[in-house]
Amino acid sequence: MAKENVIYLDNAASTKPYPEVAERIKEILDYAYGNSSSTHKLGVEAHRIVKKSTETLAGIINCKPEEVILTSGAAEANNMAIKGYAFANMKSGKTILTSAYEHPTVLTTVKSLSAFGFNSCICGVDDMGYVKHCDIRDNINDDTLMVSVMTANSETGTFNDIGQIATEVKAINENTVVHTDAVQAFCKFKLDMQVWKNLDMLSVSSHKIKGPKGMGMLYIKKGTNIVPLIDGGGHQLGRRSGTEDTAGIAGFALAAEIYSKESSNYFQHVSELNSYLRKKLALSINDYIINSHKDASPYILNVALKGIRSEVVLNYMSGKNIFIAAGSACSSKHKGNSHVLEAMCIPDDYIGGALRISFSPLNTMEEIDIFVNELASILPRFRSLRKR
Amino acid sequence: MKKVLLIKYGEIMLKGLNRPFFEKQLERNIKKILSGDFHYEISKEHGRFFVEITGEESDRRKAADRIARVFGIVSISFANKLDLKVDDIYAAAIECSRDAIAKGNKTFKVETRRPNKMFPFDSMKFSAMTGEKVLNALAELKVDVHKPEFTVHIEIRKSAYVYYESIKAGGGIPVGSSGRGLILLSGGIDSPVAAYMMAKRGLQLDAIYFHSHPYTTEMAKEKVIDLVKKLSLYCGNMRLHVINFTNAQLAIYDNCPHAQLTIIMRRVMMIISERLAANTGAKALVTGESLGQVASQTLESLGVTNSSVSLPVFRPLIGMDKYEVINIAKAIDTFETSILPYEDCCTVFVAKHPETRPRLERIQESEKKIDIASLVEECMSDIEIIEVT
Repeated sequence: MAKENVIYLDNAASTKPYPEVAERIKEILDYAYGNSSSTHKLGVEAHRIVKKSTETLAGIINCKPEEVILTSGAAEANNMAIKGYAFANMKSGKTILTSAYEHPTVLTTVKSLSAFGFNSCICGVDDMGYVKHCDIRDNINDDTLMVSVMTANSETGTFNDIGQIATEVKAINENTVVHTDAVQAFCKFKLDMQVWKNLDMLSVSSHKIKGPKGMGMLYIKKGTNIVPLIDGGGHQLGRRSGTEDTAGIAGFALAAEIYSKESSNYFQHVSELNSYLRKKLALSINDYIINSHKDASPYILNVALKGIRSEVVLNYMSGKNIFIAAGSACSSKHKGNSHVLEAMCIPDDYIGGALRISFSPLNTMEEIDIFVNELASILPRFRSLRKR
Repeated sequence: MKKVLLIKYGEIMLKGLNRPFFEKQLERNIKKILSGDFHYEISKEHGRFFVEITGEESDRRKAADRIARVFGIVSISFANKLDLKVDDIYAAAIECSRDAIAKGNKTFKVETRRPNKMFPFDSMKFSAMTGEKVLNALAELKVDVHKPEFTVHIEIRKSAYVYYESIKAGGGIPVGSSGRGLILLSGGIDSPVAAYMMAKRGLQLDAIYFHSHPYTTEMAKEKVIDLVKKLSLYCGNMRLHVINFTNAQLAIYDNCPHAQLTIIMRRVMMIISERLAANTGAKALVTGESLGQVASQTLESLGVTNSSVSLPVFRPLIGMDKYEVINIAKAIDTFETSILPYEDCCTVFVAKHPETRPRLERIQESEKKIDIASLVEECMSDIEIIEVT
């Protein structure tokens, strides 16, 4: 597969690692395989790599290295933020507020805490895909322990103004902590913890920015107290035990460094791709709606086609070596339509036909042409199939 | 004293002059299932195979579990092989009993078989003599000849075999001894069970799966491959034929009455299967159909489907209810894979109200609207073959 000519438009799911990241990982696996806790030379070498990588990652979001916890990915970071904070601060409140279109690693985690006496409050989303600030404000009270709202939505790319949300939350209850899942925004946009002063925790992932899988981090503002999910040897200031994955951490840091340096070039490139795709779709197909607001992240475009099942398009494209994501899934473990689009009240005839096209700096206009031409050629056939 | 697996076979024993044919097939199948992973020696005596596994007790247990999946075998016993010395046999019987006591057993009996008539004591007498020795050695034990908690078995052959512990195997007759068949696999619960049941009757099976890309997901195909892998533990090596069925399905959809979509589709599938069977040497088709389960499995539907081919169609589940089928699927470990939700994306190929009492003439009339011969030809020219071992 790797040698074939593929058009990869599923970069919100995962990205192809930078070659230099892959090389760096191999180099460390070959030569710096010591345990970063060991006190001999190989251990110290590993420790230095972890330390430097942590400083790099902290620098990218402008926080202190000790405010960073390295994790196995954003799923762990989200769990750590929500469960870790809730269990450490049970006396401060019992209500956790989140939005209806969060990633399952937030939504399910928040809901799971009901078994431990916590309440969840799920805020609505408007039809453009923004979390309703008024819903958040109206539901903050003395019992609100935490608010978790994502920065950029993984299916539509819609941006929430997290800095503003955090400020509004603190104005009502200064003890409520604010967490954001910033997976789709990290390195693509400037996330500055000194600017978002009211934000307390932020989760990110490595493999969305051309780093290795199995790596992520949680920013946790100094003074924010959490219970570790993993106890043991006291790694990472006792907040997350387990031998550090030196190679993975270094690969993650290198990817983040390159991606954030190039972010303005990338932004321009994917913005052009995004607007080209919008134009091309308008010229080539009919009966569709765009679910990504014009101000959404240009890295993601969500399109809903009327009268089809999106996974049929996904399968068809896959057969052509064009890889996209479907917003509905009878073929995955979770049946039914996207909870994100349901929260946005996308009409019934369209919601089952939602496609997510997500870009990387490697994509080209020619790839968009090929994708749209394939789509336009097959759509009439798919639409002719109706259950009778 | 050597530790051996004593393998009993059942139905083959009832065979007459052609028993050696079945025994040879069984031996081949035992060797095949052990090859690669175990060092072993196999030998045969009247009605028994003996397999000696080199290695630890855990290797012997693993090998026994593996052999238990070979059809034709009824049980595998963990036996001690000894010279025909009475005192050694007593000692082995006492050792077995001690082991059984450690597992919480308190009552026992001894059963002797004596094919070797040179041995000086008859079976009854030797059982009694051994039982007495065991009782003398292990005072906590009691004899219960009717419902013993364990039985010390002694077989007097060229050597003596002493054991109390056995595992059951599937029975039936060895795969390959009844010729070759072709199983139509859908990925659901039923067809893998049908394959298992016909393998038990000695059929060597290949599989055919109809893939309708892009209307069926790649994961559905992966699931079928996984099922074939699980089946191959019982059925031996299987070759999975993946048919690209999309164009045939679309042609039926576009041209035939929708209430007849499923029945015509199944007839076309049967025709393709029969064509493939001619290539693979299969002399029968096997399906997981069960009478009355769904619209396409009513008596009339089965009749109309059946009339599309002349090869025999075996439907081993025809008289079983769903729960019986599910129980077998669970026992052979295909159930969890079968229920993975990778069904067809596009249920448009299933009519809202399918015909449950189709008439052959009317179906044939509808089929005139499509060129079945060329659709079959097209499918036959685009087959992906996956070897599953």
